[in-house]
Amino acid sequence: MTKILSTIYGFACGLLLTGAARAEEGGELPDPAAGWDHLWREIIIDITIIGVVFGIAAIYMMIRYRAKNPNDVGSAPKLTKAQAIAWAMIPAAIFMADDFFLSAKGWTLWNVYRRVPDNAMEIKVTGYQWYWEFDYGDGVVTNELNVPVGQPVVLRMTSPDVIHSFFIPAYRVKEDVMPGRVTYIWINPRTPGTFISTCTEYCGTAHSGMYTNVNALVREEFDSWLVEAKAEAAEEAKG
Amino acid sequence: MTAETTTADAGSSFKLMEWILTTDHKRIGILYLIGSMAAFIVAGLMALLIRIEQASPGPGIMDSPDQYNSWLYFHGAAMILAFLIPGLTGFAANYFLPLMIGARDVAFPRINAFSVWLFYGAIILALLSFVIPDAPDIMWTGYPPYSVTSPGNTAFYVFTVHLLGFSSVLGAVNFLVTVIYMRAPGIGWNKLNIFVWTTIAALGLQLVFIPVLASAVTMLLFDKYLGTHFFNPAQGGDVLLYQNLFWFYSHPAVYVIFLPAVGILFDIVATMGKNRVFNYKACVYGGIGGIMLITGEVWVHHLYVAGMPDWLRIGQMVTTLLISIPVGLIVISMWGTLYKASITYNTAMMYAASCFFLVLLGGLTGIPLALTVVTVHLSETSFVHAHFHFIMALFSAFALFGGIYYWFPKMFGRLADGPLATASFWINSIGVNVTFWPLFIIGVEGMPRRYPDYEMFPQFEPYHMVATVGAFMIALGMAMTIINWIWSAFKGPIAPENPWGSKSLEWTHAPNCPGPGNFPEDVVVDDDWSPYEYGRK
Amino acid sequence: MKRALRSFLLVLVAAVVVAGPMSVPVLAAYYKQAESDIDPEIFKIDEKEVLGVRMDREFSMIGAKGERFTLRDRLNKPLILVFSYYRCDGICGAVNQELLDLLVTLRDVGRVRIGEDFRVLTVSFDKNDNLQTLMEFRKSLQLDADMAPGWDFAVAENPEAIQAFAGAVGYRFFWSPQDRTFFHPGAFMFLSTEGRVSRILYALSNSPKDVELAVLDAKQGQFKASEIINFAASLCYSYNFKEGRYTYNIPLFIAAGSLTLGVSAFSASMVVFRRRRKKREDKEGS
Repeated sequence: MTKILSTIYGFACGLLLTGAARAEEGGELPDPAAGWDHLWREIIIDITIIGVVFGIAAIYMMIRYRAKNPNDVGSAPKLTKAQAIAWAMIPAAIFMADDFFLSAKGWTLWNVYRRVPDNAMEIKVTGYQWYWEFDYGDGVVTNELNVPVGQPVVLRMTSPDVIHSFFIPAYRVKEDVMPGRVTYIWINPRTPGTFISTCTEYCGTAHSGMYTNVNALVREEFDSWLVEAKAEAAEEAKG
Repeated sequence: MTAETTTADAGSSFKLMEWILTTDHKRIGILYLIGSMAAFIVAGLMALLIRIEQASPGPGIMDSPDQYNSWLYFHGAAMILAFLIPGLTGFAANYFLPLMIGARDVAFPRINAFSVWLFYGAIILALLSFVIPDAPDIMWTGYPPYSVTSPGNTAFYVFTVHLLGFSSVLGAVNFLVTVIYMRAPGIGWNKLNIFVWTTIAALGLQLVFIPVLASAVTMLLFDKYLGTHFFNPAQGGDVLLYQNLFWFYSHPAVYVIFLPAVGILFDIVATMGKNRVFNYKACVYGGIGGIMLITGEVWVHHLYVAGMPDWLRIGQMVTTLLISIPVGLIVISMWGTLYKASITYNTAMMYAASCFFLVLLGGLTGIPLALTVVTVHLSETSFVHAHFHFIMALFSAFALFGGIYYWFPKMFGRLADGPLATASFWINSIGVNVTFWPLFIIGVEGMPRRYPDYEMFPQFEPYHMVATVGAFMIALGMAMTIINWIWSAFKGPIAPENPWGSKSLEWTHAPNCPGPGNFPEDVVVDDDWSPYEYGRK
Repeated sequence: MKRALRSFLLVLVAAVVVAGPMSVPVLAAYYKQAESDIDPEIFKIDEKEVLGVRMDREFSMIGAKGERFTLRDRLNKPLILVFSYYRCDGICGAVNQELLDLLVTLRDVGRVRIGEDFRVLTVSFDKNDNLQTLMEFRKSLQLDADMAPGWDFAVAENPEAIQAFAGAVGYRFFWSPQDRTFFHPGAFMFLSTEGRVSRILYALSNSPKDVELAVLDAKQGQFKASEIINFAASLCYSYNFKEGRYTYNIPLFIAAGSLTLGVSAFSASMVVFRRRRKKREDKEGS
């Protein structure tokens, strides 16, 4: 009962939080990837508990209730009406409580994933069969994604040909990229390094070759690269 | 006394024309079994090729990625559409559903014969993709725009779906009418075998949702070959609509496969445990009925990263999680049926027992995938791949194999429970876990699905290697299983009538290898009869 | 019966054949107004390129009453942005007038209302425009009193900045001394509350439905529960990039129709079975 209550409470909090999250601006920037890892751990604990309880129950009963001699029949009592209803309603309530508990958790993090920080830097991503293009504006276009550490980056994505999906496992994020629509994801690079991004929507022959590097650069390095690239692009535009 | 002579009239020998022209539901069931197992073998070999290719990064045995993609296409499409669905709702339902309700045949025997040959036509069409140039390479999902711009022959996919869909709708109509009007006197709705309930639930879903899939793939065909723009966003089409329509059918299709498998499981466990089904009404009305109600509202969870509106994705997260309630009720009934049972272990029961753990694994790994935000990372990775293989492929296939062992004496008059059966069961059980556990692990690390080559993730090679070893174990186990079935059908030890001591009608009232008309005399049951009533007060 | 069906189909086909090309003269008439050797195609905004692009929300303007405001201040609701110039004697007036007519229709019979569900902002890109020309232009439109609060007219605070502001979303214009006029596209830019371009409709070929659906698009899924009908209605249409308008989402209707197929097959076979059984029973009885 306390579990149900606390779950309902959690659900209500989730509702409130989503409202609160909308109101608060600024402050510490959320890290979606860290939030994902946290939620993942909670879910794994949740489903492991259920799995172990049911698993042990099954093994116990499978061993305990072996037939002692071939003519034995099972002796499960016929459920009374009240028992039958209880055995339907109580498990249903427990499952529902767990559902709402997880929903509230998932919803809260979902809002973090979808609410792009106001100061996010924009990069336009285009998926082609079978390569990626990253457009930083002012004619700077690359085939590897460069992002500055400590700066939220929003990727606006589209495709001129077929559906692709842009996936950066290290940032725990992906979204499909398709013709006629613009989708977005945002990332918050925390540490410098090189990560892999792949295509995760089947797009034909070289689907698995459609991967590239995501380079998280320290701020100064990124800035100097961008300035250089912009100058180069301006040069090229002049001819 | 072989299978053929007993099922045919008065001791005549095997006659090909009799099988082709047959309208007997049992022979049609056997035809479904042969066809779906043939599809299973070919699609299984594709899986083996896929696993060999994935054993190491970089190109392996394939000629080109296109060839690999056509293996994937065939594996997915054939396993789901030509093995699992026809195996469960074609073979099992055809042979045993009329027997379980005490009917002498189905409502429309000739339509039944027509639908099995449609099914064979579809299998041939699917197999043709190995000989035509430019085999379909669009996966079993066939998402546009790729399926429209792909060089592969999408038409083979579309026509395969048409034939199978038509066949399934005819079958669904037939069996629903059969159950409604042809139950033997005294068999009320609350006395049906769980298998009968799950089958008519599955067929009801087929009836409602298949036409939507058929119309969607037809529009795909028009887009590709007739230049229409149903799904072309540049000309007013909606690029996501196909996915919505596809999963509007194909999510219920998961339950079309899952439910009959659950039904077989209940019948095996209740028979081998000599026990009544725990909380029958909650299982039927809450569990099966609940799934029927919710399943039409959850398809968007297949599009969690497809750019649907945010609020829609979050709403569908809640409905998707709520599926755990009816499934939970079924699970409680499954577990409860073990309680105070008196279980005899044989091959059928061993398969059923392993299904308890497969459904746990597959079901629980579905919970993170129901959360939109968790799926943002896991979607299209091998985590999803492993999840649906456990719940849909392995659970359902194991239940079906258990069912084949369970009903083997009924179909062929012989037992198949030799040492080969036991050995192959253990090899299969270990094999599936060796294959799919590593995929869970690398899926969370970010290994995408449908990749012939993973040079960007060389660290995953050992996991893939283990999975490939597992696939070979399954191949060995399945080869032994099939050899055992064929051998046992002709040379196995003769089975007594009702070898398991079941109370279900197909065992108590029909002889082994029932002839035309099924029952020696009309079936009438008492008021206190139930297929799960073993007499302990 | 058959004949009636056939003639009905013929009429249907004829209607499609006639209606299709009819939209062409409308477009042609619009482009004729330029009457110059300049290719109007270069003004076509590459919509696919600019969809989702965020406009500069700090871009500041001067309103009709001389008040200063930024784009951000007008983004509490979806916004229809119209670039014009107030001394224009040609299409600018027509473009704004068309929008007004459409909005009047929407106010009276539509699902979305100016001021309540969205705002309109007309901005001049001509540095010679001032509050006086603005007021004249505004007056000539004769806005109804209830619509006026939802529709701002403005000039750029810094006229030099407007080229970059409009250029960011592919909107180009230039002065032709020979024709003594600005060449520019007549377009309605639909902005989401984030200031992103969610749809562009070209003027002079729109129905109220197009505007309504584009506004619903600009809400980007942020529906209130009471607006679920709007959302459902918007599903029936999809945007046609080639024709620049919303067209019926035909596959949805086909799929919805096919839902009845299996159920009706089932009902029909129940009837057949019962009839057959009755016949058999009658025979046995007699």
